[in-house]
Amino acid sequence: MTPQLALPWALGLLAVLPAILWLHRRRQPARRILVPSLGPWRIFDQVPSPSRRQFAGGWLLIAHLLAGLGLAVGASGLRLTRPGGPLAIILDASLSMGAAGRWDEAREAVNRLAAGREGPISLIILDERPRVLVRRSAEAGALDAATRDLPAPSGPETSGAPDLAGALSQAASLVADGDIVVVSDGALDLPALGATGSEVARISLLRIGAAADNWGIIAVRLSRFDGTPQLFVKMAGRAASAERRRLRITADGRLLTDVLLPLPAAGEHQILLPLVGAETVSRLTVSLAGQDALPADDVWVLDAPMAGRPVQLVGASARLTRMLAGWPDLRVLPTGPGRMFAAENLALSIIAGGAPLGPWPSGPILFIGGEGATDTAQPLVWRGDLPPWLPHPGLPGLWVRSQALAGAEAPMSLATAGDRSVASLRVRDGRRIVTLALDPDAPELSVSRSWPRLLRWSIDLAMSGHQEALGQPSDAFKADDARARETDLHRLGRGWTETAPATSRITWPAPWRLAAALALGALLADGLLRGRRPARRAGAVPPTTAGP
Amino acid sequence: MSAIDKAGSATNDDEGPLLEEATLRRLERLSLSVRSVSDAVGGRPGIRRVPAADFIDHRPYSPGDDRRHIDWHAAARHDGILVKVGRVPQAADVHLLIDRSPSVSAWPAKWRQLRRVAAALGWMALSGGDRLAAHAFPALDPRREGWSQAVGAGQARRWLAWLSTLRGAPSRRTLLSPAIRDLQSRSGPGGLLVILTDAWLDEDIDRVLAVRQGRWNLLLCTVLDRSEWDPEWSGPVMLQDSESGLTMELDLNPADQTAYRQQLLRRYEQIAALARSRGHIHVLISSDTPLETALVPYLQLQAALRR
Repeated sequence: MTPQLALPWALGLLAVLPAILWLHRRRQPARRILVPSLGPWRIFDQVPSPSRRQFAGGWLLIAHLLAGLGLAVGASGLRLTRPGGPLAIILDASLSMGAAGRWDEAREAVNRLAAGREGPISLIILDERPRVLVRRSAEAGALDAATRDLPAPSGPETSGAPDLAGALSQAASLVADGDIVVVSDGALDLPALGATGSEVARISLLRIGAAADNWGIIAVRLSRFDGTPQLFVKMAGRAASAERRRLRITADGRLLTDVLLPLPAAGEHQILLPLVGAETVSRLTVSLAGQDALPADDVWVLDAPMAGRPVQLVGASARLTRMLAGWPDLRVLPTGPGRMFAAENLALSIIAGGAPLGPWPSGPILFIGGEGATDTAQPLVWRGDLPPWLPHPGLPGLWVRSQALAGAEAPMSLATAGDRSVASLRVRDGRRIVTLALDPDAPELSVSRSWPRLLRWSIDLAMSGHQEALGQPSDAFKADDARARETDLHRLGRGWTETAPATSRITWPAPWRLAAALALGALLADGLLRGRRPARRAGAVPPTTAGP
Repeated sequence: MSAIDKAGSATNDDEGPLLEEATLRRLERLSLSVRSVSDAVGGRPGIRRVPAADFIDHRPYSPGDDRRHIDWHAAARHDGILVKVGRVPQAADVHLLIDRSPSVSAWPAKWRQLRRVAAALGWMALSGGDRLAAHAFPALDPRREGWSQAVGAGQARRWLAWLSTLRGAPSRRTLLSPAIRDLQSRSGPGGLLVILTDAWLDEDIDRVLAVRQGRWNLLLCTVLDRSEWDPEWSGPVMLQDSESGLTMELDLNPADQTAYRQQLLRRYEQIAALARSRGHIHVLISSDTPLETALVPYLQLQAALRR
């Protein structure tokens, strides 16, 4: 806070302080009592007590001096102005903030920050989808009203990692020339954002809460892998010692499996479980049994985990369309040749009959067919050196009629028919593009039981991540660890400049009130002291103020 | 006495005469009780039987006796010559030691009361025909300041005038026993020694009371100021000794004042008990007590006076 004086000349009233000192010095001789002998008073000297030795006049002098100081400062119109400029407060609403007391503490910190600031204040809620709660408000109670009914973060609603970069971006757009304070329990790493030096200088952290032991589920994925739905569960946490806790998985209220997990004292633990028939489950609940500091992160709920992933089908025949529509986890959206949907919400684009004329969709693509199919069918032969992370599809006895591959990039050939590659994989712009260079409507395939399996294997391959160098099935899920929710109640953020909330709520100019209170107290104390001291009778005491 | 009123020398500078006329008249009827007398002729009846006109007994004539004292009538009735014998009037020695240290003189009421007691005792001595000597201590110039020995009521006016002009003397230490020893060495074999003080001395009171027994009577008059007994202040104070200048900081409350009074009372009781054990008389006089209503009855009670 910056002090400002409305009437600086009024500081001349500080001259009252020496006057007070002089008056007190004048009072002192009156308290010197001349006695004939100190003899009878020595009884008090033999049993000294602090109260008897204490000079009470000192406290009165201090009170008078403080009152005089308060009067002078108050008359000068001292105002302690709060720091000015816009302020954006980013309130961390990640799941770890739901631990006992942290949310209330964070809301109080937000209100204190607002009370100690002069200027417009913005409030942004930080979770996996940051949102602006208060855009710019200079009203004192705006933030209090906005945060009063804000619910504490709880399990299913907070299923992803907080998007700090997004929140900071929004804050920077709201307060271009102001400060940004992140109110968080500190589990956010600022350097990871790649902010520039000037941006980092504006950003500070107001840390909330204390470390507590907790284990929680930070990520759950249900994906088809190797032809089977597999549930990947990842847990993280810290406890006083290693412990064993049960992981329960229920599907639509029915217990599917119950696994006893050996959790280490600190770190992460992950598990991959095959869940046959998960395509038809409408709600999958994963829960970690036992009690800890944050119960909300012990449960993860997946609604319709494998149902209705949208897949657009471009230029496919009726027979191929019917076959694809038979899979329950796919919601097939057929279109005509050359017509494609916007790809943002699509899980996969299946393009039959060659590459599209326009720009390619942004998501994974499965090309089926091409140009110039051979007249005769040939056996499909898988490469002998398939990468270890790629599950071997098997599929013996499949005869196909090969066609020319679409696209110009050099693909990774997976299978051949004759001298042509009929199955290939390539990565473009971070998504997988799988090509089946064969005629999907060939008569051999209509009677083959391996053809649907090859088609399904190709679809799962296209939709199952893009880290080709990974070697384990569970590693495919690690690609999404950045989306894991934050539940560690121990972890401290790195790279922050920490700040402290304003602690004083004094409304200025308080010196007047302070001075009045002090002066009143001093007068009362003086009155009490005078009340204890009876007035001297005239003539009874010699002019030297002599006593016994 | 009219002599005092006329002379006006018996008046204090600002508070009137030390002794009022009524008080003087009453004191004339009193005399101090003195254990032994001196050889000097005075108004007090002597103990020795000598030939005298107002005889109280006879004894056989011995050569050298004044023939005027031969009782011829008795000689006619007896075989031998008898001489009339009686008591020769003699004078007692009364010595006053007056404390004028700052612990007394800085308190006007106390200082005046002490001099009033001295005036009364001196007046009684002179009226009774005793020899009066007075010494003030601490003495600035003993040869010039003291009251030289005098006898007779005619000296009363000068005595009161001397007392009226007596002033306090600055002193850092008040020692009484050297003054007593000096007095006893310069005086006769005995008499009445009256010490007028507030008993705040820089020596043990036991040394003061260790006056040689025998022919000496000691009357210790301790004068106490009213404010000394009842302090009128409380709270945080800095007490300063009137003589040594030493200070002491205290925060007095009513309980402390009670403890102080008890300590003061205990001290005077000890002095009185010590005086009694030595065969002396101790009188405690407050500054606001009327002399004729407090001193005289108290002295009578202590057998220091006789009518």
